Amino acid sequence: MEKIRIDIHYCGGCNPDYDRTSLVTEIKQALYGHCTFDDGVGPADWILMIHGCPTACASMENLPLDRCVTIRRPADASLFVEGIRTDDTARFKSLRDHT
Amino acid sequence: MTMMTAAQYEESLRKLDLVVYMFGERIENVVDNPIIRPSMNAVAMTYELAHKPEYLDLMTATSHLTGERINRFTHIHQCREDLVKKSKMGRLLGRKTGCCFQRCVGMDALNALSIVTYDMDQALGTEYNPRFLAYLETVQRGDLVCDGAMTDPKGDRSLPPHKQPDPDMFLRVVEKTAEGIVVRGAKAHQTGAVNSHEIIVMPTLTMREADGDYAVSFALPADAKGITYIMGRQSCDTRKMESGKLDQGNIRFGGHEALVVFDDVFVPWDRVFMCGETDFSGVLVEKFASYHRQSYACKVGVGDVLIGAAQTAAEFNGAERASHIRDKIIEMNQLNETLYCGCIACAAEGAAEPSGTYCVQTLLANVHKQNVTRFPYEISRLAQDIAGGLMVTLPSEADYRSETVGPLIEKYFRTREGVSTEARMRILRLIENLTLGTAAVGYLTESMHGAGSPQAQRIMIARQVNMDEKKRAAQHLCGIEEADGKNQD
Repeated sequence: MEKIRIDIHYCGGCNPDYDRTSLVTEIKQALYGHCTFDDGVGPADWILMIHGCPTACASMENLPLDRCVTIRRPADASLFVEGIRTDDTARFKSLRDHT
Repeated sequence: MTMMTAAQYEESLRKLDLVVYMFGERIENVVDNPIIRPSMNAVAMTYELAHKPEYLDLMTATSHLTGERINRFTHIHQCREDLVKKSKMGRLLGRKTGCCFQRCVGMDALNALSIVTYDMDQALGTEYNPRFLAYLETVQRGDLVCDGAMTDPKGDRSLPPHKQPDPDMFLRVVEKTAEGIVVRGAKAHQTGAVNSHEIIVMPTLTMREADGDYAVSFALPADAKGITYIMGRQSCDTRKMESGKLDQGNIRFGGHEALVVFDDVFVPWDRVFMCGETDFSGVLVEKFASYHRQSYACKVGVGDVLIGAAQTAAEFNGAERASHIRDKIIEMNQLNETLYCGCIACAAEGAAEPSGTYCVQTLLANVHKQNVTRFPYEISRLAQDIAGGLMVTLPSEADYRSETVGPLIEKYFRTREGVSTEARMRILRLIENLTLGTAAVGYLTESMHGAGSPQAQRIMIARQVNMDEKKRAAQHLCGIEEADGKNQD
């Protein structure tokens, strides 16, 4: 089975509420075997926007919004991980609302 | 090359042939000098973070000239989001270094010149803007650090430049040729001067017609012939020459200032951005000052460090649950986040200039900087209150490492279980560093006088507020217009 491709984008981290890089490490560990990260091979299935706070100010210019997933807090990452693991992307539908 | 790494930046500095004096002697190896080195480390952080995925959204931008990814410190703001990200970048770097990282002043000079050279060309038919843009592209492609040099020594403050007994009290043009201009004078308080590749000179105040020779702006390589740097002293600076690091407080980063002297220095025309256009000198000062007052966003990041240090010191002492300690920490945070409000607000309310460059909202930028002249002092007072007197009576690291008296320090300065005496000493030294050591130059006195002393902001606040509208609002509500028979909307 082909692995799901995930790209990681960060906000600039001016005043983060949590350690963003540690959270990404946890996501990678949780999805080990299911996904590849930043492999640079073709377009990613999901683009994780890792924001340090609810302001979520990282630029999404030129990114395909339908594949962007906004992580504002560690709980959002849990939602995403569960959705990928169970192949139920509706679980993190709220994280894909960029309006 | 579009974005240098920290290592490439350090190597690029080694190639400069700067004339630098400190303690009465010429410094041959500027980069490795133990007193200067921490300031170079702080600038290097602006390069290091630009290459890290978790920071590049703030640290980089897309050049409007080349379309290439560039370090934000060389960017011309193209939208409000750019201005907001500049403020956030300042907080990030202040937090990462705990000091002045020196690179904002050049960014602010570039942005101010992008506006004023355009305006001059439109009004006067000059060709400064194309010149400036060519220079800007060089800065962006080289990822250069620019020192923005504005403050003249100023001599007798009651006299304009041309009436000074010594005409060199303000930097001026002493000769014009077909090839360029020759300048003489000095710029004081130049932050990060010897860590810069370029120096961008601007007039220090609004010049009148008689002061035409003083209305001059240009850029030069930092090691141009005739430029001399004399390093400023900082409180506790020679601790950096001691063998141990602990007593420095901030063990890796610092800042520096220098007096920069121009002794008949030649500037080719393609690097001259103003020469005698007195009517535009005041606008250049105002635009630069507004941007630079926004740049004091960095103090929020340094405030983050000081608050973290105060909380740590309280926890090390076992005092963190005392209600007055908690209240003081809340007060520090309230003050610090109020500063943050100002630097974000002036950016969010920014607007496009005719050149296309976005500039901060001037009134709010001045209000922000006015707060910066005060709040870091109060935050520092509270930090010293929480830290206790030991932050200034603590024995040296050498005593702590001594076989004879070290164990006594270890014993008598131990606090709660699980906290080492050395850790306690380190956090207290950091608070000392930030509030009365080398870093206090940046966190306190620079907050007071950098980007203009407090009165300069008060003058701008008075100019910028729309008093007529405030009066109209008040008079409307109490019926003054109605009583006078005027229409009310």
